[in-house]
Amino acid sequence: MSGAAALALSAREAMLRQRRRVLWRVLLAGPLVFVGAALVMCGGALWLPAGRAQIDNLVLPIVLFPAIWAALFFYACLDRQLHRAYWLIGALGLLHAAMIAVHLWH
Amino acid sequence: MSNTLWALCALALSLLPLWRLARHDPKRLRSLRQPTSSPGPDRKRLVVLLLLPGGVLAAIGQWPAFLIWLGSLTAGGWLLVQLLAQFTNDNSTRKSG
Amino acid sequence: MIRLSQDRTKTLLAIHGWSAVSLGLLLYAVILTGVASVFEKEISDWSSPLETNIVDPFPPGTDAMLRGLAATVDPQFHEELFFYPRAGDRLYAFFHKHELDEDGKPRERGVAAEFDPRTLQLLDRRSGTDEEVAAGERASALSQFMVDLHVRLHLPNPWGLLLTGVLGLAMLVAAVTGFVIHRHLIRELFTLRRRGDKLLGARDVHVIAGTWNLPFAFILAFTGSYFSFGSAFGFPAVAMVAFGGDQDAMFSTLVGNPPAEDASPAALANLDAMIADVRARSGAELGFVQVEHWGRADALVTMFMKYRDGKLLGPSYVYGGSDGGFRYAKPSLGRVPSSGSALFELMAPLHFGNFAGVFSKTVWFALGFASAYVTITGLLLWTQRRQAQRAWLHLARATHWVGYGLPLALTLAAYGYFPVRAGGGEVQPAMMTAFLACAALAALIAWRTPLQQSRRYLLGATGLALLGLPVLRLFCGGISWSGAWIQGLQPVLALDLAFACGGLLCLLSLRRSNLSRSTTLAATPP
Repeated sequence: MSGAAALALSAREAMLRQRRRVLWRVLLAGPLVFVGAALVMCGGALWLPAGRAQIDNLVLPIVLFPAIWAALFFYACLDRQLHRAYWLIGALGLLHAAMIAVHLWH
Repeated sequence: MSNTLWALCALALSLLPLWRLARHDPKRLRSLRQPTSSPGPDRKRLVVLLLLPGGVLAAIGQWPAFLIWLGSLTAGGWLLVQLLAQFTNDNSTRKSG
Repeated sequence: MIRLSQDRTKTLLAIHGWSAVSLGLLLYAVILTGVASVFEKEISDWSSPLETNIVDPFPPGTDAMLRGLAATVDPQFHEELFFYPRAGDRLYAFFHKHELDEDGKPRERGVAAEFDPRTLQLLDRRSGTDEEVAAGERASALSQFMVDLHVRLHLPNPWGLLLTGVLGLAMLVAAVTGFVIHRHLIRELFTLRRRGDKLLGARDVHVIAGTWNLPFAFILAFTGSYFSFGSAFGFPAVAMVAFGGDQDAMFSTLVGNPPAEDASPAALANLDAMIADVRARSGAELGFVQVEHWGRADALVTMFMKYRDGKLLGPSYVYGGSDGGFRYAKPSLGRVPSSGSALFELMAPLHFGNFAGVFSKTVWFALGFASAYVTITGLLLWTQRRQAQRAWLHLARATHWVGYGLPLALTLAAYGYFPVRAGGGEVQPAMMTAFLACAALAALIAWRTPLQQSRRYLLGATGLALLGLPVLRLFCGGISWSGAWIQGLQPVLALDLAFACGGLLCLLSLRRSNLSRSTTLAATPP
């Protein structure tokens, strides 16, 4: 294989790798962040303090849902290490999912 | 004093510094190839004067008037920039004609 | 100052552009109809005024009027009643029960009625589920058409709400990324280049409007996505987790009124006396009344007041239904003030701008208009930058179609409404037909004529349609200007004038752009 052909092939590979990376990031920042934010909202009702009126834990996560989503979305878009972003958002989502499951089980 | 009066007073006080800031804005004047006045007005002082009425409304807890003041100031600022651009455009068209 | 590396700035720029390109046109539709919805009450007062100005929509005699209605309603619907003023200050009352639909979602079923508060006469009566009752609406139908388009793009629930929620999030993203990537342009807050490089001018127009409008774009996007997601899935999802799916139990906890059940029959105390008491007690105007368990010993009457001068938050007042005695004042949620309730209550005034009458509404209208302008100029800038690529020409055409065609289609919905209502027909299909037919015609114009020309046709038609609205209203049996003046119906006069001015502005802006085009052509060497 000539040097020019090898160079073209590696450039093509790099482009494909870049495209795959973008797709993985879109998957994280799109549907996965939305599901994660929804889990944090629902799980938040279980660990947030209820406050004087006994309603803060129910109302605050719903009202602040756009802020939860925005924080996770920008983190998912801007973290240079994509696998770390997957781990962190996945862990946050799974933690809340586990809390919800335990609560519903009991 | 009602919401409306508080907001109108604050807006009236803010419009003057806004007008001076817009008229003497060096970037705007440079883009029109007009001479910038030197020394120009103290812009920092004008910005403080612009925001002060809103600060007072917030400090005394007149939140509805504060929101109206902020909203009218931003909408008014945008309108002012549009009008200034239109006015200078018309003037230069007339001159070139 | 936030410092971002070059590749992060590039990422944010890509997010800003692509989120706007993929959702910008729908977002523009939601914002533009939101701008119209700011004056929802005024539009319904304009389209369907009563013969005279109503000074008090809850006059003495309200009690007898509602008792008369209750006597004709199946007692199963006495579970809950609410009443409040609607189009032309007609008093709207809805006796209903709560039930689950075929999909297990909660809904209301009952009997709705409208009264003239001056004569206490029954004007209209409908029955069915809440959706069926809304579908038969006539007096508020025109403003409701705009509101439904804004809230859920006329799509069935919850899909419409979920879509507008996503659009709210897209607007939030566009506002945040726009601020971060263009923050250095804050120094150019007053610089709008109209001459010279066309692309630079288009960028200035977009960035200047966006920068001035930034705080409110953020507020409107945040509160808007909360309203959409909250009702579509926020409250049901939290109810699922915290209350095993029982939304009624969750709302009882949130509202905070004790669920002391006593189903023994007891006549409801005099509502007129309770209304007089709450007015004296609160010093505020009454906005909305809810009666739970009409005719039972455990009946509760909750009075929701309008915004007090100088306040964004205020209590509602609860009365015992059977004895009419004042029980307690409470925030919207919970029995005592809390951060959750305060935040919940703040969402409405921040989104609707209805906390200080017409003045605050006018400011919100201007801010909403600026947001719509930012959206459409952003899309035009995107397509202008890529005008050499044929693929983007379709987006440019779609931007012209929606940007200039939607205001025309919204105006023409009124042309479907007035004649059909005057003829006694079904107004909802008439409005939708006029809207869709106009949208189809606008699409034809946008795709069949050059872009500049399609803009001229659509903007010109919008101008003429707006100018014709007051005439149409008069021809379809609307009150005359002298009659409206004598009867004190200010919304009729104000909106007729506003539509005429809006129409003239459209035509004037056409004339201006024609003039500037001919000047540019004259200055261009052959």
